[in-house]
Parts: sequence; C-alpha cells; structure tokens
Amino acid sequence: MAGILIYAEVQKGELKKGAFEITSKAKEFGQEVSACIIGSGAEALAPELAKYGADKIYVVDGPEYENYVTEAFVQAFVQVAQQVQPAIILTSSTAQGKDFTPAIAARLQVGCFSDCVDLSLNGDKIVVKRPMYAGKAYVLAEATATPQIASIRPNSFPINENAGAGAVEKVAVSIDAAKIKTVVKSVEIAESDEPDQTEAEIIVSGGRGMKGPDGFPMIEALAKALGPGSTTGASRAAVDAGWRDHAYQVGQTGKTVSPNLYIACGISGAIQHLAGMGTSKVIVAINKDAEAPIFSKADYGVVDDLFKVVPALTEEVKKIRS
Amino acid sequence: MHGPESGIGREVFWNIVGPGFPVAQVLLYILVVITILLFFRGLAKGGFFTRLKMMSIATGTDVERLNNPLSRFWYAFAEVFGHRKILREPYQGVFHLFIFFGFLALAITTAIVFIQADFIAPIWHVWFWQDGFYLGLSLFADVFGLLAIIGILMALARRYLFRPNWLDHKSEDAYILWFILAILVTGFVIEGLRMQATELKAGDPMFTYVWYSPVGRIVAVLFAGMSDATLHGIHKVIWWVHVLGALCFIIYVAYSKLLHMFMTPLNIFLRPITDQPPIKVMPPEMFETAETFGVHNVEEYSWKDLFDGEGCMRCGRCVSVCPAFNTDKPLMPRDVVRDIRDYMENKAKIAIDADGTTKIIPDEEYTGPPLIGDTIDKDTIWACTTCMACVDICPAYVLQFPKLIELRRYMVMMESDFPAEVLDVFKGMENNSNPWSIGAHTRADWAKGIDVPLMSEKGEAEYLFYVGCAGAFDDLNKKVATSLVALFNAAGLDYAILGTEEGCCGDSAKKIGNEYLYQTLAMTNIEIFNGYNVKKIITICPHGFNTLKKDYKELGGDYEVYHYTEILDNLIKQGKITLTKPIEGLGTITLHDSCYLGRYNNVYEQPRNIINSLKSGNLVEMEDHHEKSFCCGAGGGRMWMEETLGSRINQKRTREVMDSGAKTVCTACPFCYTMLSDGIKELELDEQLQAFDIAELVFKAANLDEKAAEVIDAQPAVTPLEPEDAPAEEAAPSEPSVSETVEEEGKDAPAEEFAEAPVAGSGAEEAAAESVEEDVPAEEAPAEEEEKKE
Amino acid sequence: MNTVVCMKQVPDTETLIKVNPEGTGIATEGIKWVMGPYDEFAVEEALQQKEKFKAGTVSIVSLGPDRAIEAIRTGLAMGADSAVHINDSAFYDKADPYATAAVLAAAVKNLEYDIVFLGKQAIDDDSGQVPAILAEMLGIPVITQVLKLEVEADKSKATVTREVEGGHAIIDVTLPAVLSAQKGLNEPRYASLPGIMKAKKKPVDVKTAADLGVDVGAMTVIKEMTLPPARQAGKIIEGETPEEKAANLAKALHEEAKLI
Repeated sequence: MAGILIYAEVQKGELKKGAFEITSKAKEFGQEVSACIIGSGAEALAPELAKYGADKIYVVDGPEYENYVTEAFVQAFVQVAQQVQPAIILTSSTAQGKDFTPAIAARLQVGCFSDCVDLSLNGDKIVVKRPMYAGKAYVLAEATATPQIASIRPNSFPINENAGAGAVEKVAVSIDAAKIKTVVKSVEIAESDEPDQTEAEIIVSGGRGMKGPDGFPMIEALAKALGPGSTTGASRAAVDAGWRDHAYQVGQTGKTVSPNLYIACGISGAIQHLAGMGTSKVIVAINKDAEAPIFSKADYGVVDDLFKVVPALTEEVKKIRS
Repeated sequence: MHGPESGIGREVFWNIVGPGFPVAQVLLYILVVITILLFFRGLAKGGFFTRLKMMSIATGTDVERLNNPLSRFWYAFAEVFGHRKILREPYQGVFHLFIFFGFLALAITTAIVFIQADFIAPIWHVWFWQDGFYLGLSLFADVFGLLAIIGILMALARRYLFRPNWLDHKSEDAYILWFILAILVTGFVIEGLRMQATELKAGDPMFTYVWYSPVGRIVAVLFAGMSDATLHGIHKVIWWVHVLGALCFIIYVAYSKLLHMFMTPLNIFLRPITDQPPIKVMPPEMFETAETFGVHNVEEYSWKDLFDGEGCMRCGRCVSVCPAFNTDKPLMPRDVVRDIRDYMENKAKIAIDADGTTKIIPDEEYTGPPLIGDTIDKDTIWACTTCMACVDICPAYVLQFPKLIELRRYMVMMESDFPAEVLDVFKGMENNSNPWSIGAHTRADWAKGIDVPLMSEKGEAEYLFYVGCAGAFDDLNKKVATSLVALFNAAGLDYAILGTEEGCCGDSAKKIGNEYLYQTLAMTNIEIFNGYNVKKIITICPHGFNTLKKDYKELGGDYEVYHYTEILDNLIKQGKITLTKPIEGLGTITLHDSCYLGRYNNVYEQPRNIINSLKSGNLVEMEDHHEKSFCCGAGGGRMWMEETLGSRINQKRTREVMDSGAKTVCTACPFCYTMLSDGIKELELDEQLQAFDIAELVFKAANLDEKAAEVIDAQPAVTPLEPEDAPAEEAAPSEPSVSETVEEEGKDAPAEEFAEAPVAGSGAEEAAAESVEEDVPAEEAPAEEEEKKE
Repeated sequence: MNTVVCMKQVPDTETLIKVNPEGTGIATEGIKWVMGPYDEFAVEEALQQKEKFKAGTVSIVSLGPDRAIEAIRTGLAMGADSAVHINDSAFYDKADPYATAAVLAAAVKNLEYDIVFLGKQAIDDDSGQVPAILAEMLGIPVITQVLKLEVEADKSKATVTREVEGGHAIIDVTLPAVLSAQKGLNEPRYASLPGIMKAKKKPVDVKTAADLGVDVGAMTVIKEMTLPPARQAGKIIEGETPEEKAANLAKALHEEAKLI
C-alpha cells in the first residue's frame, strides 16, 4: 500500500475548492497522488484536478451519481480504494465529507480523523493536527492501521498549481443496490436562502448603531457577498426597536450562535448579546465608539462609521471571492 | 315609655308606635330576627360557607396564624381604626374613612337608642337618652351621617365621573353605594319630617335646640308648609322604607363585598407576623417525598392563601400600582385573588357532595376548566415582576403575587412549561452558576490585577463581599464591584470575596418558580459560607441581599446581610470615606428605589443619605418613590424573559425619571441599572439623562489615594454607561472624555491592542487609566460650555 | 416505536479546558459535565417519536466512567425508559471513535430498535464519526445531521431532512437506521422534577466491554494535546479612510483568519 488517494467532492457539477486544497497539500509529500471523483459528469472535471497535482484520476461517472447517496458513494469509493491500495486517504471536511469519511473508514475497518487543520508526514505515518473541545485544544494524532484516513477542514491549505500527470481512468464499479436503503428525493440548495443563524458559518449582525431598518439591506448585501452559509443577525436593541424580526435576534433571549465569523455592526456588546455569540470563532466589531465593550471581545475592530465601512467591505469581499 | 321625661330629647317610635299594643315595635322585632336568619342564609347562598369548606381541605402548608393573639388583635385594631394603609391613597382613603366612621357612629347611636328603648326603659323605666346626652348624640350622629353621605358621594363621583381604569365596576358596586346612600338620605328625611312636625313648632321644648340636629333641621325646610297629617303620613312611609332598607342592607352584607367589614379585619389579624418572605419556602425534604409541587389544583394552596379571597374587596389598589398592569400586560393582582376565589367556589359544586363531605378531586376525574391557562392565563402568570407593590399597598394584607409564584412552581417543576428563553438561564445556573452561561471559572476575572482579598487566601474576614453574578460578569456592573473594592480598601474594611467559589444566589430561579434549582444553588452557597464561618455578608445586588438575608435562613443559612448602601452610608458617617471631590455634570439627581431594597427590606434612607453626602448634585424625588417606587421591570425573573406584551416597564420608569427633571438617575441594583440604562438608550434620552450606580458616584467623589483609585479602568466621567447597544453612531461630540484619549494614543501605536478585560491589568493600561483620570476635569470644561450654549 | 439513543457525557461548553500532565488529554478535575448538546436533540427526538406513536421504549446507551451516570440520569429524567452504562476505562480512555462504535454496537444489538439516534458529534473530541461507523457495524443505513424526521405509521420507512452543503436534502430511508441529530431538529425539553425523581428509580444496566464480548483496539492514538495560543488581544484595523480600513479588514479576514 502506497500513495495518497484523494476524494474530490462534486457539488452542482463543479469540484469543490477543498479538493484542490487537499490535492495541493498531498502533492507536497512527494508521493503519488491519486484522486477519485464520483458524480454525474465527473469525467469532464478530471483535467481541472490535474492542475493541482493529481497524477491519476479515477472517475466514477453516471447519472445515478447526480445526488450524494452515502451507501452508493461508499461502495464506489471503496472499490476504487481497493484497486488503488493507497496508504493515505484524504477527504474534505464538508457536510458531505463528514458523512462520507467515517463511512468509508468503517467499511475499510480502519480509523479516521475528522476536521484536520494540518497534516504532516512522519515516515509513512501521517500526523494530523485537529481541534477538540470546539477549538479549545488541539491534538496531534496518528493512526494505527492502514489506510490512514483524514478529512481536512476547508481553507486549511492554500491551493497551488503544480500539475500532476493527470491520467484519467474511468472505473466501472458494481453497486450492490440491495444495500442501498436510502433514496434522495430532493436536494434544495438555494443561493439566496440564508441558513438559520444557529447553523450559519458567517453572521453579519446589526445593532442600535444601524439607526433604523433602512440600514439592514447594507448588512444583507455584505452577508450575500460572503457567500452561502452566511446570514444576518440583529441585537435585541434592533429587534426591540422594530427594525428586525425577532427571528434574527442573537443573544441571551434570542439565538445562541457559534459561527466561524461574526461581524457585529453598531453593536456595543452588552452581556446579553455576548452570551449569545461569545463562542464565535472570530469576532469583528465595527463601531464608531472605541469604548464599546464589544471591542474587548473582538478579534478585529474597526473604529469608524459603519455606514462607510460596511459597503466598502462588501466590495472588498466581492473582489476576493470572485 | 317611648320618650324622655324631660322635654329635651325625643320619643323613640314617634309616629310609629302609638298608644296601646306596640304592633310596629313587635313587627320590627320579628323583622330583625328574620334579618339575622336571612343574613346567615345569605352567607350560605353567597357561597361563604362553601368557600370555608373548600379552605378546610386545602393541602398547602401554612405558617402559624394564631400565635400572639393579643398583638395580632391590636395590630388589626390599629390598622382598621387608624386606616393606616387605606389612607395611603388619599382620596379613596378619605371617603372610606368618612363612610367607615359615619356608619360606625350611626351604628353606635342606633345601638344606644336600642338599648334605651328596648331594654333600659321597659325593664328599669329609666330614660337616660335626654338633655345634654341626647343633644350631643344627636349632633354626633348628624355630623357623622353627613360625613358618610359626603364619603358616598365622593365614591360615586369616582365611580361615575372619573373612574380609574384599574377600578372594576360590578353591579354590586353600584347597588351598595346607592343603597347606603338611600338609607342615609331616608334617615335624614324622616328626621326632617319629624322635626317639621314637632320640634320646629314654636313652643316645643326642643325648639331652641333644633340646631343640635343640623342636617335634620335643614332637611326640614323642604317640608315647611305641609300639614301635620301629610307630615305624619309621609314620615310613616319613609320610616318603614328606611328601616326595611337598613335590614335588607344587613342581609346584603352576606352576599356582597360588604362582607369585607368582617373578613378584612380578620385577614389582618391572620397576617404573617414573622419577618418571613411572602413567597413560602418549600421544605427541602419535600423534594424527596412530595409527588407534586406548586399549585395547579386550587386546593393545593394553603387555607390562608384561599382565605385571602375573603379579605379582598376589589378596591383595586394592587392593580393601580402593578407595573405589569400599568404597561398593558394582562395582569391585575386583584383579579388573580378574586379569580381563585370564584374558581374555588365553582369547583365546590363537584368537590362537595350532597351530604356535605368535601373531597379533593383527583386530576384524572376533574373535567372542569383548569386553573392554569384558563382561569388564570399563562401570560398573566409570567407577567409578574414580584415587585411587591401589590402586597405592600394592600389594606387587607392579601398576598397577591405569591399566588402566581405557586402556579409558576407547578408549571416549571412539574410541566417544564416556561418561556423558551428561560431554558438557557436554568442551564446556565445549573452548569455555570450564572444566568448567562459564562464559564464558572471566569467568575473572579473581574478582580484580576486589582487588590481584592480572597477568602480562600485570607481564611477569615469580618465581611464576606458577595459580588453576585452581575458584579462578576456584566461589564456594566463590574464597575460597581470594582468601585466598592476601592472604597472598602480605602476604608480599611476587613472583607474578602469568594472568587470562583461564589455561586449564583438563585433569586431568579426561585421567582421563576424553579425552587428545586434555587435550593440547589442556595445549599451550595450556604455550604461554602459556613465553611468559612461567615457571619456578615455585603451584597451588591438587592436580589442577592434579600435572598441571602431572608430566604437562606429557611435553608439553614443564618447571616447578617447588608446591602452595600448600608455599609457605605455607615462608612461615610464614620468618616472612613470622605467625599470631597466634586463630580461634574451630575445636575439634579433622583433615586430609583429598587423593589428588593425598599419594599422588601425597607432600605430607603441609606441610599439617600449617600447621595446627600456627595458634594455634587441635588436630590429630587420622582413622583413614585419610597414604597410607591415603580419597578424597573427586571424582577421575578423578568430580566431573562422577552417583554412582548404591552409597553416596556423600563421605558415607563425612564419617562418617570425624565418627568422628575433629574439629569442623573441613581440606582443601587444591577437589574435596575441595566434596565434604566437600556431605557435611556431606547428612548434616545442619552443627551438629557444618565444612569449611575451609587457606588460609582461614591468612588468618583471619594478622596482615595492613587493606589486605591487605580482599581478602576477609566470610568467615563459623565458618559452614561453602556446598556446592550452603544449609541455608537450618536456619540456626543460634547463629551470627549475617555474615548478620544484612547483613540489618540491609538494613532501613535500601529495595531493598537485593546484591553481584554475592563479591569486594568498591565502597567500600560493603568497608566492610561491614570491619564484619563487626570484628563477628566480638563475635558469637562468644553462639555459644560456646550451645555450653556444650548 | 423503539429507539436507542447513544449518548455521551461531555464537559460543559464553557468549561476551562486544561491539558493533563502527560499531555495526552484534558485534566478532568473541576470540570462541569453535561449531556452532549447534540445528544439532547437525539434524546428529545426519540421521546417525541415515542409520544407520537404512543408506544415503544427509549433506551439510552452510554460509554463513560462512573460520572457518566449523571448524564444518563438526565436522559432518563427527560423521559427515556432504561439505560445501558458501558463503564470500561479501556474504552472510554481511548476516546477512539472506532472502538467506541464497536462497544456501542454490541450494546445496541441487545436492544429493540427501529431507530438508533445519536448527536451528530460529541463536543469533546468533535469527531462526528461514531454514527457512520456504528451503522456500518449494525449493517443498517445511516443519515447524519438530521434536521427533520417523519416516520411512517408502519415504521418501515422514514422521511428525513438532512443538512447538506448550503442547503438540505430530503431522503427516504428504510428502517431500522442510524440517525444523527443536528441542531434545529427540535427544542430539547427541560426535565421536570417528577422526571428527575423517577429517573432515580429507572433501570441502568452497567456493563464492561468484556460483558458485551467486544475486544477492539484503538485505530487512532493521540500523541500530544496542546492548548491553542492564548487568544490574541483584538487588533484595531488601521487606515486613513473607512474604505482603507474596510480593505485592510477584508485582507486580514482572508489572509490571517482564512475565513473569506
């Protein structure tokens, strides 16, 4: 068993960015990097993956792979893995990856690591770094069996163009349909449909400093620019003033949220509010008042007029994301 | 013998009982006997006996009600005859006083006449009701009868011309007033008729004394010119109307709220006489044995809880002062008491068998309307702030709001039925011993870097300084904690804090109805307190003050507990703290009395003494102050609930602050401080009004040495402190004080770091703090100028 | 409707995490232990399904040391009927998802179930692997991160809404199945006092891995545990104009925090 096998996730006919990140990272280890793409129209996506270092790309293509079905994908991937016999399997810790990775590990009867933020090689062993206790501790861990499987948190590694051989092999897998006991009826991914505050990765929240309901389209625009997984919130003051529906309220008497990024616009940060968002991974405060308590909790603070900063930030974000 | 021997006096049954067999008198005796019988029948028909029976099966535990009978009697006597509580509402108080003493005087007069005419005269043939005594009594009765009429007219005017919205109006209210007015008026009419027919005739022995019956004399004018026969005829008719009316009135007492004339004094007699909290403790062992907690069946109240419904006569004072009612929430304390009474009476129909045996209906057999959610709406149950205004003002010593707490107990502990936002509060208290779910290990972080003795290091101290959750975790109130530390240090007080060993006092849990959680928290604290042999405690929060002082006693924690205002007042009086520094920009100050400090614990003067010792500002009172202080809206666990019904209590109180003309409102309670600060922001009154905790002002005014003063990181001089949201975008240019200083420094240093904690930790921050302290007076000047321009 | 809920006792989210002297795990003294928050959703959903069907049982299975009984009792107080407490230090000390799933699977196999519920992850090691591995070991399908559940009257099938990237998928699944609960599935109830009282008397079956016939080694080994560097004091974003500050902020979020 040797080499690294990447599971490259497809969503809406596109490879996910995480696939490029792990391919780029795998390439650094100087081993043969294989990738497996499962999806309807997967074959067409293979060349793109080669750009970032995939030497061999196994494609499981067919209309039946339009939607992710755990059992079918696991069966397909395990057959590829049995063919490739990799020492290391890497996946992305996306919603699908979190479902898929432990399932293939179980099928292969080995362990796996979830949500790793760093990866290094110690001889033929991978050493993963992953957070525990919601990021309050980190562990370095190793596997005791092969293949060693790790899912990598998106955005952990940069994407480097470093072309691999890129040979594409279409694999015909045999799926035991009797074992598939789930049917995906529909998948609803709506770009405009904001996630619930409690599930959102990014929340842009407005408080009394928004001065009125008219300011909120501005933070909605910022949330939209930040992409899916982003939504807006509001402080109790903004909700009480009637500028925002209670469904948006973050805080002691509203929703308790823990997004990766919380952008507080015109929110002073009273304890009632902090109780609801204090566990956010990164907090940004935009407030004219340098004395606002929110700054003591913020990782990044902008002391300025939010009505100027927020639109400018929206434009900058659009630039970065495009 | 029906008249006086001398000519000064009058015949008792004039024009009614003629010579010969006294038919009318005997008829009257018969009617009186019938009246008494009908009165008792009325008690039965009116449901009084039924209700007593229901009270007899009540299962709720109650305290001793008959100990110290003499002192109970004298207290009730003084309350009834002194009208002490009734007169707290002057208008209603005065008319009740008039009616009460008017009727009392007439009853006494009638009794004297009855004794004279029906006992003394027939048995001993003595007539004492004459001459000076007659004249005096006549004047007495006329004057008091007139007062009663004035009282009734005042009451009628209030009911029909300017009825307040909190006064309910049932048919009996109208009947009673018109009824007793009719009795009084007919009384004076028959007097006038009799006088016109007798005394006003020249030559009558009474002719010169007619003004001893002044009202009768004036009424008689109406009948001047009538023939004797007419006068006699009308007199006879109206006399019977009057007498029958009076007898009917006696019967009506049994059916109506008039029964309060007996029940209210009795209720006052039965009042709790120990310094016991109005909300009953649930004995801890109950949690091992009992199967149900709180009240959902009316019989689960104690008999006295139910008897309160008899003492209440719907005067509505409790409604008039209720902060929930006054902000359009569906809570009227009076109706809670009366609804329970009516519900109990209705339930009696199925609870009392035909043979009179009374039983408790098991839940599964009961099909009537539920008490919770039907008779008493859930919104009503959750609207209460436990401010105690209803209990405090009630002239009948009814405990209104504790009945709601019993219902909350059932809902919370039995059904887990409470506003959704309370769940996190309970979990926070359970897991981290504070309502915000902030890590318990950070409880002492507010004290990092400042000189605060820890109990675990000091071992023993005269005072335990119990900081409480707000002082320990809330940025706004941490400043109060640090101010007090500086002051205690300066005064050389022997104190210590518990740091992370401290836990939530449990007040909110208790008042929300989670007695189980409250007792868990309380027991943990008591164990820690006792471990350090704590005798005296100082608290910041009046809720903790009240809980530690009164509620903990019931769980075996007996301490001398002081609110910090009591301590500071003393230290100032002893000269251990000297207030020499003027505080700019305070202007007129008013004090918001915290419910748990004032009404609960009678601490009214200490905060005022402190404010008066400041060298700045002058104290004015709001319209509602002392006992009448209006709640901020945060008590009873309301701090943790959304206020979705009606208007906001804190905003109403903030407007009252504005109406007082004050520029600064002082609080001595973290909840009040937060609520009023929020109110100021919400109403956008930041330019006109600021809120401070008294401790902060004492800190600013105290002549502390530099070291002591260092504990506080740059408290803004006159900028109101932050509630939930800063008025960031509206930061007043006229108040540059701190923010600009910091910002200026920020410009010099790229990637300026700001303090993690509000407490000065590093040397640099302390320096900043000091520079701010020095800068303050200088920077006040432009602010003042700006004001003058306006 | 019979359900098994696999549940774990974890440190309260606010607890201060310290590393043990060996540097391989956390120091456990002074920690406030609670039922896993996602497990609460699982217990709640199991109870709601039982209430909906007006029949069946809810059994709790939990791996953990003596103290785990508190979390088990919490679940029983919420309304679960019985519990299996796997008290075996060889397994809970390893904190290895594969070994954990193996021992849970052995316990679950002895119970009646239409659905096995778990939280989507335990918030201590945050692995989120046990549901899938457990399903594999039980030979039944798994749906993770469930937001909504509707079980058909004959209990042969269920319609499940699960979270997927940027949205949700609606899936039909044949029962029995393993489902892992995501936040949003329901609002967990607060145990009533009678529930707490009754929980003290409900049966808890204490087992070791040997009792269950499980002998599986750990598939992963923690070499070292460290605490992240103390949170940096916040940075004030500099700039001459609001626009410049916005640009610098976007840059910091993109390059330093890697969030954009």
